[in-house]
Amino acid sequence: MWPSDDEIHDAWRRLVADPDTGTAFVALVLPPLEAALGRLFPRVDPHRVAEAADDAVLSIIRRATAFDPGRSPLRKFLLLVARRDLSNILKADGRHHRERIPWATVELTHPAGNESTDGETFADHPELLAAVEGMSPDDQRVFELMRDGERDTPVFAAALGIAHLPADEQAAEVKRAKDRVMARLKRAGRGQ
Amino acid sequence: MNESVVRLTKRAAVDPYFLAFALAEYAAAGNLDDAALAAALGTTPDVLAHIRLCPAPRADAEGFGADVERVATKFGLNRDVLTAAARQGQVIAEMRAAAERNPEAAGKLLAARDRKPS
Repeated sequence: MWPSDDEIHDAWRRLVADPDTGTAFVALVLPPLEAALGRLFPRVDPHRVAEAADDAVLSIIRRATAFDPGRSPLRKFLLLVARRDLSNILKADGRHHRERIPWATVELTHPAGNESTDGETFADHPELLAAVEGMSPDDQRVFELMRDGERDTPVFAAALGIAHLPADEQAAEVKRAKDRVMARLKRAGRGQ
Repeated sequence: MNESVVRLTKRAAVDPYFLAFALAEYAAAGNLDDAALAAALGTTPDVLAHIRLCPAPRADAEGFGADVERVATKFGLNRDVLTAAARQGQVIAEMRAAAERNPEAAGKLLAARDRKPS
């Protein structure tokens, strides 16, 4: 369970003011981050999930001022960084184990800046909320990634548990899942 | 202390940004486990986790002294041990950086170090 955004931002401000408070920051954000990442990627090795969560939190401690609290909650920023870290870890695993051609793109571990994701709410759209709740767990995870602006196919593939498939099959399966989610949302938006 | 927090403080030991790196090198050289390292620093294993995630002292002499003093005072540590550990960490980090810049020379150095005396 995440603490409130205010609590997280207060801990971040303390970290910026006093870099020796890293452990307090970690204790506040690491357990909920690891849990959130585990829920999003239930089929990924928990050790890899923990590694990605660790890397994300350590990168924030190293560069606390890279986060802009005026743009989005730190909770979302941490999850974004952790997803990128996990994607990179899984890509490295894929290269190591399969010795296939490396993935075409390699993202920065740290996003250039936290993108604004405020204002998204289902409160005014109960029909959309019902549509999401009616989706399979896989499609709910795909929806969550789409909502958060994720564009990296391997991240979707990991969430769907198909990271072991060849890249073209992953891309096709991810596209099908995204199309399914979009169709469901469009139907809900039209009141069908 | 939460298990995941302890895990992360140990992961920080491979990153020269954190004091954990220097402490790990110092502990390895002295064959110290967590309890022994904490005892040498004059603290407890719980507090050791907090110390590990502090930034390593700055490299310049003035900054180094001020940073060691700050951490030692804040956590009530043995200043001499902290100084020795931080220095050791810096030297090793510098050696590794030099090795990355010139792997061939570093290889010869390592070979010379590992050669048994006749």
